[in-house]
Amino acid sequence: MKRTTSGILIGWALLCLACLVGCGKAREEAVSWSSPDEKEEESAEARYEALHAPVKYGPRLTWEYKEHDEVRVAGRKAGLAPPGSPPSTPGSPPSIPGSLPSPDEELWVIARPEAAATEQEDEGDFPGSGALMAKLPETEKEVPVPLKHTDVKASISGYIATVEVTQKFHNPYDEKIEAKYVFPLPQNAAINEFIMTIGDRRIRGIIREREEAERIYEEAKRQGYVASLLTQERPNIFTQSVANIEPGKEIDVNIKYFHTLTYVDGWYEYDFPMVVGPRFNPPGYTEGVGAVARGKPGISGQKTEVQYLRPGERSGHDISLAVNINAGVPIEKVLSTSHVIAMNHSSSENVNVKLSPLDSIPNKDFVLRYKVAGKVIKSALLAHRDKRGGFFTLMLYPPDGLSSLGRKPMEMIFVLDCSGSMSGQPIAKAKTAVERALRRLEADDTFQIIRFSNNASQLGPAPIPATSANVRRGLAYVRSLHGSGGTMMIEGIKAALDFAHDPRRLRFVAFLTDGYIGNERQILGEVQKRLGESRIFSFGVGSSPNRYLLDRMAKLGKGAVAYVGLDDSAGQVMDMFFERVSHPAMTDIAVDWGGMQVSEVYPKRIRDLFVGRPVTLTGKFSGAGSATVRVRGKVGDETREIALAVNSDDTSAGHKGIPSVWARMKIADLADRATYDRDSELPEQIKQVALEYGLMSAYTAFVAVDSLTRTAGEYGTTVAVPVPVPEGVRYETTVQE
Amino acid sequence: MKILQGVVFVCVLFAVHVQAQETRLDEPEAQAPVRFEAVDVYMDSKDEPLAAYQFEFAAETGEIKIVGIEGGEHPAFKEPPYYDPAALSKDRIIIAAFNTGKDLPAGKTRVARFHVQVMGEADPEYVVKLDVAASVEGKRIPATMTLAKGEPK
Repeated sequence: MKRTTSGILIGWALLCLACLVGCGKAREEAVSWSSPDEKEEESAEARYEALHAPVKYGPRLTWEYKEHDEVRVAGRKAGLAPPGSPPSTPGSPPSIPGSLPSPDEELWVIARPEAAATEQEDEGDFPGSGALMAKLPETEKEVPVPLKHTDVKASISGYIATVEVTQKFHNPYDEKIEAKYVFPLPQNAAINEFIMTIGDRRIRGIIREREEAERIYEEAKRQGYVASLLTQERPNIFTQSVANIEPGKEIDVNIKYFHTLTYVDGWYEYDFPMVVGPRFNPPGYTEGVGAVARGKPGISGQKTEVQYLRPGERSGHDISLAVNINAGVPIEKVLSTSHVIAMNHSSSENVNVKLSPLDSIPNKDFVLRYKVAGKVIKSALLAHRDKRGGFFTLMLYPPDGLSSLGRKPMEMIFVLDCSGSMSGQPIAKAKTAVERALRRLEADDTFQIIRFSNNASQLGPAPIPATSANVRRGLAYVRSLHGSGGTMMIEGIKAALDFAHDPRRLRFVAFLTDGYIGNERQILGEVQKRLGESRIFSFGVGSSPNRYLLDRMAKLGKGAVAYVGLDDSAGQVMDMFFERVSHPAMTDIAVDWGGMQVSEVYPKRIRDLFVGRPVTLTGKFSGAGSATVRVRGKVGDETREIALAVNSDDTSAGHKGIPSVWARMKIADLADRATYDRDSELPEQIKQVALEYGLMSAYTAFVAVDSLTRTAGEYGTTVAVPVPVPEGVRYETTVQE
Repeated sequence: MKILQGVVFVCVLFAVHVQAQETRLDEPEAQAPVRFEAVDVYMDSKDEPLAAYQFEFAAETGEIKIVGIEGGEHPAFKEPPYYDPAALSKDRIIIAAFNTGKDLPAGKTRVARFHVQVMGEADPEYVVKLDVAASVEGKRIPATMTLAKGEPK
């Protein structure tokens, strides 16, 4: 988009200056307690980022909208201060980046009101504005791509998000087109609404068996009707097809879904993925997701393909995003490590967050974290009843005492993805994380480092005692690694899980990867088959990792997942991991539901409860009233119990999305089983649940046809919506030309 | 849906059969074994403002698939109504809508439009069965339903 007014340029300049000041200070704080080696690595990383990142806003920069929608930045004494402001007063409590501003905090206006920016955004549709000029096959006309804008509105109540996504398609060409857009959504999204909007007419799509929906769409397309189809390629990858968009016309598609938030180390996290990362598919595999250059369809040989913009190209597609958080309890802090946000808080429990229009390129996951008041979060049950019966979700937190108990010696196996997609910033983050972990090992521990790309290799043939000398060897080995080649993750899985186990130690496998592979099912099947005594902790690295794969690996691996974004501190994420594994988990968990008559609880196998990581259960229930739910499990050799008082009649603790969340989790459970169980009934079971609850799945699809809008002539050229490679990912090493 | 829950489930049973008319574009439909058409659903609540309804739409004869649902003409029911996915089949659907606002339609108004795919040469015979129509107070009100071929504006 073209922004030419001096106000905006001044705003940008001030923003960059503020970020340099803020980043510098934040980095100083982050490394102040590190060893000299770590400081060196951090500064090397900072130098790399400064050289390679196009614009860095700095982590946890918080904006605030005030009266008249002026964009303001909250200047903070410790974190982000206006140029020339005095240093923080010694002894004064440091302000926390991202926390809500106190009344006496200074607000610093750095950009013009939003209305002015909007006016200039309109100029972006014209040639020469920086928007992608795509060539329609057989024409010479250069025009923008057919997806103009994505708008996301999320509303969070308790720990359930209701999200409405609007994709605005248009036809900037001089002939009729079919638009195809491969896009991501959260892997646990329960998609239950699909509406196609043509002018002021809104047509609700119908859920059908996938093949049937595809046939309906193809027939409507062939006959010239405006139609749309939504299919699922992976639990977190979808294809939107819109047929018969006439020149100059616009068609919107609205998608609505529910999902539960994650809760990690005291923070609730809301994620919205914006781009599908380029996947690697092993030789001979055709069911994957191919990554090809714009205008080169079919060259990957994969069932699904994503077309990517080349370096220097930019799509006219942008994104707006707003999140309303209604936590039900006072909110202490809100921050985004991935994007520049603006906030206003209508009450202590309610905050509105908006993506800054200056950060509207959809090339990385949006990550929003918030912390609620109170040291200890109580396990909470949300319930909903309708004609289908009662449904509940229960977020079950670990017992308080776990963090006071010590750990056994560990056998740590680090598995680093050194493929081409990790090249650059992602592998730098992964290496920093492993280096931090190596330094935190104790003398009784052992370790091993495995790298994989086209093949797998490792530091040594056997577990290595974590002596100072060996740790130095490990550090040197990690520093020698770099990213190139394919992602034969299966080799890494085999090398890590087939590794001889020392029964005197707890065995943890830390998998650091962006997860950019197309054969997820094969990988998950191998994890299930080879897991043994290992616990897998997956670390998603980069700006837009494959969260479906990483979450599922951790789930099947009885561990936990963590994400290291490009603006996250890899060291802090690894510290949190050590905090988690340095204390015993609550294992062998069983739930006595007391007076609640409970059925079909998912996940069927409750994973271990680690420090800082709750688990969300969902099920159906009948009956009413209060009950005491007792959760029992083992901590070491002891049996521990958590008693929860629940009231399924408490309408204030309800949410209409719970039946959809339950059905989605049942589908996920069945799909997980399908990765290792050859039961031919599983697909049919998934389909039936999806149809009954009106949900997207691998076997169902939404279709909408406007039988009153029939266009003339052939249905035209199919135009894929090309997307940028995720921030930090190198096009040259990941995309097929 | 509170209003719907507060009234008797079936208050009026009124079936309307309509003979589907010839589709709009002659040449392609005449040759195609599969065609698409729209069916408009009207509800007449006489003098009573209509706040909520639930009805079933189906094809008694002919082979159809419902491929889209559009809302009504009055702003109170302009949003496409919800359908019950558990009760959905190829040729049958149950839909419902409500509005608790003050500006509600009275008399005859189009409350929904179905987009359908018709297979074969035979013209389907559609039927609509009203489960309930209700006022803003949640009281059932008498209403009649009619069907007509959907036409572009």
